[in-house]
Amino acid sequence: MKQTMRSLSASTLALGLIAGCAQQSASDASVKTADAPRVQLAVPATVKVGAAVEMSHEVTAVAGPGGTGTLSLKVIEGYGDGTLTLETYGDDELSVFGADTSKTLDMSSGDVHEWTVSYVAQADGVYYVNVRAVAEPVDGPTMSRAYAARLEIGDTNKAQKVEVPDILETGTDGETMIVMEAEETIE
Amino acid sequence: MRLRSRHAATAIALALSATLVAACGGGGGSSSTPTPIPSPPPPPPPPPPPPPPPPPPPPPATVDISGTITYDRVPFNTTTSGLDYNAIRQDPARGVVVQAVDASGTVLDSDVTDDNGAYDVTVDSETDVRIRAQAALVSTSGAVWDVRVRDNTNSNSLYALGGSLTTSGVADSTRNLNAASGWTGSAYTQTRAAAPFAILDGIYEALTDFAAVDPAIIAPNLQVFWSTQNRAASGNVANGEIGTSSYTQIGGVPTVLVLGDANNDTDEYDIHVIVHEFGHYFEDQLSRSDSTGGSHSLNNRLDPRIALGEGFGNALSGIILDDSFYRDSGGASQASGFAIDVESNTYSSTGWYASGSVQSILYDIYDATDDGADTISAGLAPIYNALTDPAYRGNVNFTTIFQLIDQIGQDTAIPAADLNALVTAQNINGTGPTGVGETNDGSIANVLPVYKIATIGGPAVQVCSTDNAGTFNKLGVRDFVSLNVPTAQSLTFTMTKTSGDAARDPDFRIFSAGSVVDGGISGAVDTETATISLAAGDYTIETLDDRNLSAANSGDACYDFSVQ
Repeated sequence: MKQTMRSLSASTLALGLIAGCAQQSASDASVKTADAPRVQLAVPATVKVGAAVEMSHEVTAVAGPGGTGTLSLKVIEGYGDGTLTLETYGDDELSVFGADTSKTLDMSSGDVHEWTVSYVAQADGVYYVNVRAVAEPVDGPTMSRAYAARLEIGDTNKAQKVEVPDILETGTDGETMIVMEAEETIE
Repeated sequence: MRLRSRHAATAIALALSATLVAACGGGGGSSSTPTPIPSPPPPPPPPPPPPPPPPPPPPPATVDISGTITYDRVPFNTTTSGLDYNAIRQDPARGVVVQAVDASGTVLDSDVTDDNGAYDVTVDSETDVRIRAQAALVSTSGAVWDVRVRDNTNSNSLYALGGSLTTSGVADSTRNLNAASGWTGSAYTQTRAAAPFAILDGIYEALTDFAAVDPAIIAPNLQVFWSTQNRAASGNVANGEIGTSSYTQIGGVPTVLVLGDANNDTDEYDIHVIVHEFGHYFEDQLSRSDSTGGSHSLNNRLDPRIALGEGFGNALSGIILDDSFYRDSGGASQASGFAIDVESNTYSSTGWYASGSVQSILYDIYDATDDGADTISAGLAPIYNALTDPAYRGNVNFTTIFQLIDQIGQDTAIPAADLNALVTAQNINGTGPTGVGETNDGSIANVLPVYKIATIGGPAVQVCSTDNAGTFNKLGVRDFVSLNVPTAQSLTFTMTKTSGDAARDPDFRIFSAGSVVDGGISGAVDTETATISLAAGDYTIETLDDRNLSAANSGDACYDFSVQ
């Protein structure tokens, strides 16, 4: 099965990093210069098993707070048959909508699949469009993989919702601890 | 005067007599002769006052506080492989550090919980004390380890579970602490305190299983990064953009990263995922891994180094948990997921390049159930011993299923014929640590033999790089070349394209016992040359087309590789 990756434009692929590829680049992160063939490999990241899909994204229409933006998502799958179900949804305070927020694709029709979703966030900050891909090949186990596309709305320096830990303590050994409240019974 | 006096005395006596009779309650008639009245006995002396009660005993100087530490375990729905919040149970937090701290945070005493989550600390009586359980597994004698779960989005702070600040009293007492899941019916709305302890429990199980084989195991420190903000975006780990659950080193520290993004992908309760990633830590720190890392799936034809690592990780999760079904939950409410049966012998891709084949072989060596070609029931020991054997760790070749099976085969408890049957059933037929004679090429031309052999001053050997099975870590992207250097010398390595797509970028890297020592990685088109001084010894060289590391410009080409 010859993959069709060569048909993709480099600029498009460069815009978004797939989950796996982000780690992939680390293991071959040797410095490439024509005159310095010395090699040093970075420590690789071994990632959990999942569907043979690689996802990337491109923000095709930037939006500020309250405005509607669009996001182009791309999936490269490594199957020759079966179905691929894709679901997109926003995290807190980000609405994702459009005809393609959820779709099922025939994986025998090609390796590369693209679709577009729209989004709205009411406030400045960093948001994520979540994507879940479930591959069901004809021969082989059903597997899934998650992806999150980062969106920057307006002034990204403004604080996003941050979960505040229960208690922060510093031990006598200098160790900083997040002390979470226990369900406690005393007898 | 005397008479008068006598009469007067008689009158007084009579009067006294009458008074006494009256006082005695009767007169007994009207006798006119008074009965002599005996003198009344003296009243009994009053009883002595009771002795004063003894003073209360002083309070004991110290008291014991004991109890159990538990956490909410959210199990799987084995039908959907999603999480089943209706079946939450409290499991013991095993092997974790428990501290008794006073109001100022000073540690008064500490303990490590046993397999029931029980602890016992001693503190001064009548002292305000709080019990604090750290998300830390610590063992400092015998088998040694130190594993801590930290929040990578909050200055790498250590998670801990805290009870109330309460007086220790004057008698021994019990304080039980439970870490709640934070699930309140339809969502996580409370602190997810159980998550760090759920993560640790899978690692504790693995460490204690290893210690049962090797009581003197010394495991280097491991940190686990988990946060509710750890999501499937790649970027800044401090912002939770970890890509996915994985193992790597951060700042030189072995680190497992775990997803925590509710409604997309969380892994704190996906215990097979946790043990799988711990398996990568084990390979990296106590065995040897030459894996390239990167994305992979069961149907992929992989570089045999990643096939070994990922197949080992999957098998290890089944072995440690005695549950052959590797499960990974996710999606809305964590209600969906998938499962892999590592006991299965049938995959769409089988061979020396398939993680499914590796996990099947290793699990069959371990398990007590014979199925298919499996007649071995050897437990964990032969696998652990092979992976930690200095001969395996220091071997000149890359870590592949060939190298590992060759090492496991040194164990006389495993019949060679039985081991060979397991391997052959997975379409692996090469022998020895380099897979000599392998005939399964994964439908990719030129990947065989698994190792090409170059000689100094000898003819060029053909190496190729193809994207037929995918890029980066897939089969055919890289070729392996063995080279013996009999004496220290300066050598010129040349890699020149002989056929294939235009504008390729050949590179090579030279390894000694798994460590890269040098190479040629310039951006020169269609050729690569480097002059390198090497000490005497055996080397393995990885050749590749740099453009096949990503999909943008991948392609196929072959090269002449020579050493002069």
